[in-house]
Amino acid sequence: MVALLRADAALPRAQRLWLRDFVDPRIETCVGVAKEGQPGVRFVDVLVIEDRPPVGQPPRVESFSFKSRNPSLLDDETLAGQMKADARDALRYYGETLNIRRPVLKYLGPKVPVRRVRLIYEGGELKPRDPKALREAIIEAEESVKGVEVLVQ
Amino acid sequence: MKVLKFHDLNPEDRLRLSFKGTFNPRAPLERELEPFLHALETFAGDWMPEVIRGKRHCKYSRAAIWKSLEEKRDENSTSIGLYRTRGPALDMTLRLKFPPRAPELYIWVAVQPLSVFKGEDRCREFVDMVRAWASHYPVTTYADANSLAEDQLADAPNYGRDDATTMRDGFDKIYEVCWLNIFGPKLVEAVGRERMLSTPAHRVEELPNGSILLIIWPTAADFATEGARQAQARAHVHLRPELDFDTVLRTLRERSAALVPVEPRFHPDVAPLLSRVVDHVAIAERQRKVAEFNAWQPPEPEEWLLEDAALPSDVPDPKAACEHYSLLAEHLVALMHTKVPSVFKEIPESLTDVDFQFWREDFPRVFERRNIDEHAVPAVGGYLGEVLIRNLGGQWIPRKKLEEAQVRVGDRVWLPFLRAHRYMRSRQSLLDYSLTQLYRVAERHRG
Repeated sequence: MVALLRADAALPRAQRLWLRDFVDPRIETCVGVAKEGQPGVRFVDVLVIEDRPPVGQPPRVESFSFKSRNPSLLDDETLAGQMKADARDALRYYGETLNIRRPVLKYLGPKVPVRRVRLIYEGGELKPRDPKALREAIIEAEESVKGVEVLVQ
Repeated sequence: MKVLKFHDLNPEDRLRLSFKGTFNPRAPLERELEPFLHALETFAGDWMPEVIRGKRHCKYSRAAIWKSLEEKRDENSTSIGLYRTRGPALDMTLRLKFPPRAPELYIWVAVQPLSVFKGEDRCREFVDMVRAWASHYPVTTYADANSLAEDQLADAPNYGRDDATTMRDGFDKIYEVCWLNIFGPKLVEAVGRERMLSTPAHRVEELPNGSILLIIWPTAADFATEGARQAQARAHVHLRPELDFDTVLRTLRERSAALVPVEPRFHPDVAPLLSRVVDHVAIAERQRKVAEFNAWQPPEPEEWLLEDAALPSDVPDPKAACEHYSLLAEHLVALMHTKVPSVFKEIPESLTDVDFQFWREDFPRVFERRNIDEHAVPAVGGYLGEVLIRNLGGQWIPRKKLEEAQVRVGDRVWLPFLRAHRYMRSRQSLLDYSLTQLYRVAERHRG
């Protein structure tokens, strides 16, 4: 998945699938982040940071969380519940405003707004099952947890 | 209380209903859900839920339902699962959305096997149940019941669109006609009320909120028969006059052709492995896969030498080398045992289980190539060697170069590490150079 994002970043902006909102995206992996009101430090799978922000504006930051699940063993209600819980976690831990702990990213400041949170399910098992049920589970997760995009790779 | 899951059954098609209606969130919930439960209990019959799951499983009862809905309640929604302990298998969800979200009642019913819906009476009862639901919980967009195989072949719910467009637009046009359809007022208006009510179909009925119920054919299980396809094409083209009838019918017939059962006639050496692969693919792809495997044979294994051409041991300490191979085999057990418990047994069937697990994970593609070649390949080679030794009375002939190490079985020597290397190139090579096949051929030549 990280490889896919790096490949996307290397494409011309108009051709990108994931990182079209960046002029010059920088990909950082396994970044330790903290949040006001939350104990401890968590590690986000990927942060994408704008390396060429418009003059006077803070750089755009987006977060990506990856999950592999085997839904062929999950019933519909559990699948939907799990997606919702995963989406809530993604927002809670890797969304809104973060304190990024990596020294090389400290220049972003102590309170970095994350403009977009994406939750991506990987693994071929997810796809062939029941696309309608999967679609409804995603819709429910996105409606319940505003601000998180749920995608299946 | 052991719930029966689809996973426990043979892979077969199933019927699924997706139903979204509105309800009154200000009314007491028990009264508001009474029509839902009454229709379910009246019409479900053979597939009636036996188990309710909120936070835990309990036997079906009204009390269990209220308690479970209460347990699962969060700020603006609640949901429960409904299941059975014996066939037919049921996977059912009831979900409610409350203000500040737009109030919505969502019902998902999935029943397997599809043959439950072969009889006209069983199907009529199903339709009457959905009709009752739609009368009390008006459908505003679209509701449908369809076979899983058919939805897979139709690319539902995308119907050729990308995910983002599908999420944004939903079922905003009549992309397909399902066995059971409820078209909400917007879709009715788009087609024209009179036009929709005059659709040639088994049953067309206007519902209280102006939505329209449309049943294509009396029986859901027969959706792929010629008669049902003709009916489906006629109805679809009536609702979408810009489509060409012959083109639509041709597409539907192609789908039916893809679903015609094909008798498996796999190469006996690899039949157990191929059967598992076939069971794993989407139900709509199953017959195509059987046909593909019927026409395919793995290449004859080449990772062997005649005994008198064997490379002699060239290691200073053969005992240590054999211990090393045994350790490599243990690495495979460590790698696989959680997902493949049979790997502990080191029997021929373990090899098939290992083959299938690597295939199912798409291991050669997903994991880093260097790690595969440096760790997985030797582990697989060691394990294959140990299985040959344990079950066929084989013997290691160690070599300095791992790929040259041999196992003598009868009048041949086999090269398990060489085989493992070829095996791990790609997902296809897992089948072309399977451990399953090598064992069977070695067994045959033991003499």
